[in-house]
Amino acid sequence: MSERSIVSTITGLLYPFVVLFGVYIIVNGHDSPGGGFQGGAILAAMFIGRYIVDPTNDLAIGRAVLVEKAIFAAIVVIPAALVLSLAAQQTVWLREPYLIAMNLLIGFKVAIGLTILVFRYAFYEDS
Amino acid sequence: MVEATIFVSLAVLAVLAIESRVLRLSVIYLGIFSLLISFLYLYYNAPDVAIAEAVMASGLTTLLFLTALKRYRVYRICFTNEAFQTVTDRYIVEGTRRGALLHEIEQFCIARELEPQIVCTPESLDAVSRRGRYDLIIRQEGDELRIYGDGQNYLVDELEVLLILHYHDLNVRFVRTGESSDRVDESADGTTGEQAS
Amino acid sequence: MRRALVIACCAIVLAGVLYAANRHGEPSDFELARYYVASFHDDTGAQNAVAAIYLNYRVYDTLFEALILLAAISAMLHFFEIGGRK
Repeated sequence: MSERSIVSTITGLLYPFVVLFGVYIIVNGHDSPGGGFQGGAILAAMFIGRYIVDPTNDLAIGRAVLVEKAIFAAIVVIPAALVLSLAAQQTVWLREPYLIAMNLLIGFKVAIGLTILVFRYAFYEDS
Repeated sequence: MVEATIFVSLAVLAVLAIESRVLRLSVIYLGIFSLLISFLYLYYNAPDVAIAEAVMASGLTTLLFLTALKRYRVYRICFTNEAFQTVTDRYIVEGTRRGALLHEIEQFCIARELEPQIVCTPESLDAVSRRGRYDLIIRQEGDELRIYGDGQNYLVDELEVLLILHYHDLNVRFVRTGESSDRVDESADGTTGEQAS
Repeated sequence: MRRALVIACCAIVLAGVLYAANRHGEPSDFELARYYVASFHDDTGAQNAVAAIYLNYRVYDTLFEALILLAAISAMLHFFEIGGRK
């Protein structure tokens, strides 16, 4: 039991820093190595590790899937509006916000998706 | 030099991960393998891929494998009674105290995320233990029950406490086997495959 | 016997890969790659060439990657629901 409490304390301490690191990798993905996928995977790994240590707070899977579908719609619409049209390509000030927004969307999508996958797959309880 | 060292260790770790008899160890070897590969990507100036590899392969995949191993461990229990000619499950489960005991052991296993697998045979203890794939052997001899478990396994300790507390009327005796410790240990460590015997 | 066969197969594949790699070398003189490396900053405003490629030049790849993840999750939830209902 005491080993359990050590691990859960350390995980609770690390949790905000790792989440911050993941968000940093997502947001800064257009300037430094990293990007949506990598940061999202870091976030997902942290969520899953926290759930393994302390399986009290369950995930609302239905709502998470809904959020993921909405994000996918945004991922389809934003490049269609900003990259695939020639006029939008010329506006220079839009370029960096576009990269940051896309990285954020991809990051959250990957984080939610991997979390749902592993939750559902590894912690599936046959009721 | 760095490159050559990483390549050699990658080969060694790959062979170790395949050849290791304990599945949990091979998962760990695979995690180290992925970490080294991500160092190699970094060495080749591909930090994006290195981050993805480190997180996905040595973080998420290791977590996934370890939880899967923890969930689907099989705990093999063998119930022998040489007095029976042919044995069906009815002999034991028919509402008797011994059936309750077996049921309790099953519940004990399920509570620890083990998958109990109970086999009943009329074979002798020697024949059963020579097969060597059971984690726990329960032998009925007249009115006496003897439970053969590994001395190194902490689960057997917990089980003994449980049975002494609730089933002291059943004349249960625990026998600790030392010589088959490697087998029992390994199965408790998560090897679900059949032992080659 | 089976083990020896597996080792022989691995050795053959390894020899083939090494031969092919030594024969052709790294395909580093692609015109398109040189164009990307030279002008990704002016084209997209990104500092990181990888981000420029997967968010701008090759945005369809990213799109379908996201779609694959969504499809995988939908399929998995669907089959788990069927298994639970039975």
